Amino acid sequence: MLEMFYVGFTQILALKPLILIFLGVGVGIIFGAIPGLTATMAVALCLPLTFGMHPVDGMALLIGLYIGGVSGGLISAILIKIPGTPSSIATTFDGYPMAEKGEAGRALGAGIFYSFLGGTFSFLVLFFIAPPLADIALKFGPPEYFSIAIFSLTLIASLSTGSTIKGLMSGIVGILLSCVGTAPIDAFPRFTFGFRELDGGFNLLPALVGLFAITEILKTAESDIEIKLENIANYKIKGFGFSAKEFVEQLGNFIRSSLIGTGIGILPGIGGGTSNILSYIAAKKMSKHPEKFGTGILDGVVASETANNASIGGALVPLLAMGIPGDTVTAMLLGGLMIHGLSPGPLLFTTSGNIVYGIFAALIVANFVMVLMEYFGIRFFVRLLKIPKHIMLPIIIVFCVVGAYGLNNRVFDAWSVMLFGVIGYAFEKWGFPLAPVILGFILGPIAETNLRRGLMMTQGNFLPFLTKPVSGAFLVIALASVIYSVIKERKRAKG
Amino acid sequence: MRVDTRKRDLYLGIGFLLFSFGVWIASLSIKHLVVARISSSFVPQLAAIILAVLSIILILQSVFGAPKSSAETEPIADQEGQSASKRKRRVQLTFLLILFYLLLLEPVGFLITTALYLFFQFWVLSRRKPNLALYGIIAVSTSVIIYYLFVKVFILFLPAGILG
Repeated sequence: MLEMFYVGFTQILALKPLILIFLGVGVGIIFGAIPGLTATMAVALCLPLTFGMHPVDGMALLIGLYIGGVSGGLISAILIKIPGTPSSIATTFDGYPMAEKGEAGRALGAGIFYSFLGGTFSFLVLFFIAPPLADIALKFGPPEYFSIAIFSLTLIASLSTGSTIKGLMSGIVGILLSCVGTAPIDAFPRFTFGFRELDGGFNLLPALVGLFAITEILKTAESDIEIKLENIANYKIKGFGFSAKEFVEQLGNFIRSSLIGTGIGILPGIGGGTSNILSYIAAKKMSKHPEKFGTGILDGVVASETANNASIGGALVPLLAMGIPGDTVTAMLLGGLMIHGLSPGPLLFTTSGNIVYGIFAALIVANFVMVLMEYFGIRFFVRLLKIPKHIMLPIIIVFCVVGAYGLNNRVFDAWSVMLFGVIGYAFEKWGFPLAPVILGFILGPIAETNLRRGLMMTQGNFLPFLTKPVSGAFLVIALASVIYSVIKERKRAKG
Repeated sequence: MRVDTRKRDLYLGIGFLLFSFGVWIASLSIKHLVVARISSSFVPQLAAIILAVLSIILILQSVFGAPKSSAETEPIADQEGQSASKRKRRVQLTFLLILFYLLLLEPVGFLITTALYLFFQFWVLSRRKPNLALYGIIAVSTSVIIYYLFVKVFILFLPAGILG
């Protein structure tokens, strides 16, 4: 393993990948800090840039964007009480009260430092869990992959915000959208209605850009909120804002939040957006002074910022070991790898080990770069918060169109961006969550291909899907998670 | 102007039910090509059935459900009717602008269409008094910078249109 790390670092510690990591982290922090722009969007918009690059260079850029995107959210969460991304929602609970007390610098310093620590923790977990997990996954056949895909789908649908029924419906719509185009196994063109452009189906990139970026601009067109300059809290960072004694005090909180963050990250479909809130709640419950939470104490910021970065390493575990994305950003990374002809999954470790360890090295380097940039560049990022949204969002739309067009050099993909944008906007208005749509879109084909392959192996017998231990277990958990969330919802509706 | 979420969910349920019927009918034309237990029509049809069942549950929930169950998921609270209609118009105009942008992108070319799109989009989204001269400068320079950045640095192809 050590020599593989050596190979990884020699690839990353060259001029080009380093520049790309700096670029990625910087742009990522900007996207993270500006409310409405997320890490997913940053990765989606920059994905087309990686088409012409060497896979390791491309991944270096995307990893930088991912880490920057998750870490940038704390800036606006602490300084203007608006979480820059869903990953920093819980950071506002104590981060902004700290800023009001004149401790903005302390909150920022601790947030940055614990983002780094949380990330590092989860990367270590990734390095030790992913290779053996890939070894186990090598023995998986179609039934196991089918069941894991179904499990992931039900999990995201039932854990997403709002009603379980709507979450499941979103997931199904995603599966149906993925059915458009050439079917797996027998290559029959489905739902193309005679349009040749639809033969290849919808591309993942336009789908993601449409659902998340276009939806966002339409929502902005509708809202009346604007960031006012005077709302930005005063801040001054000195050191990391906490003493050695406080560090020891936060140790338990840090370990718990890291575990929650990494665990949530590993679960398919949910990531930093969920883990920061769960870890904040856990920190409050376990605390000796829960009443102080929300008044501006360090514990809250530490819990939230540790957990959201810890989800990064977690989310990469199922992606690299099994080819199943852990959240929407890793879904984009999946697309990024596939464009270079690399299919993430257990075989990746044996066939392209150098790229896997290149990614590992990029994670470590990008994490250091994130601390440096956020710590020393904070004034610059804060200034960017002042760019009016009505100038910034249209420019982002142009980037969306360029990216979608550059995919295949055809306007058709730009049209699909638009289609998915309209779907996304409508779904938001109707109270349907968007993440299940994209997960259904990605996992639908994985489930279908493996179902049909599996049935061919078993001569059309469904029973082995249930009787094989791993496959059966995942299907049972999938069913249980739906039943559990329906019961929970009924209780909530009554109570 | 409060949206009644239960009524909305009722219509949505009916809409998705009809949609799942449509999917089912469209999937009937998928042919059974290989000798196997299930063909390419299996997953779409199964998805259509599940969607239909979920739609019926949604309809039943909205008719018989506790009145408050879904009210909390309504995120938008409208204060004034006038600003609401203004917002609606901004969304419609934004939508139209993107539509025209895509339509004209190939025939007219990236540089001109992008500059025009940006200019009008800035205008539509601006909340205060629009500064048209500034918008024009930003629109043109952004369009030029993006074009050269992508075509020269990242070697992506963009439609040159009438300038090509």
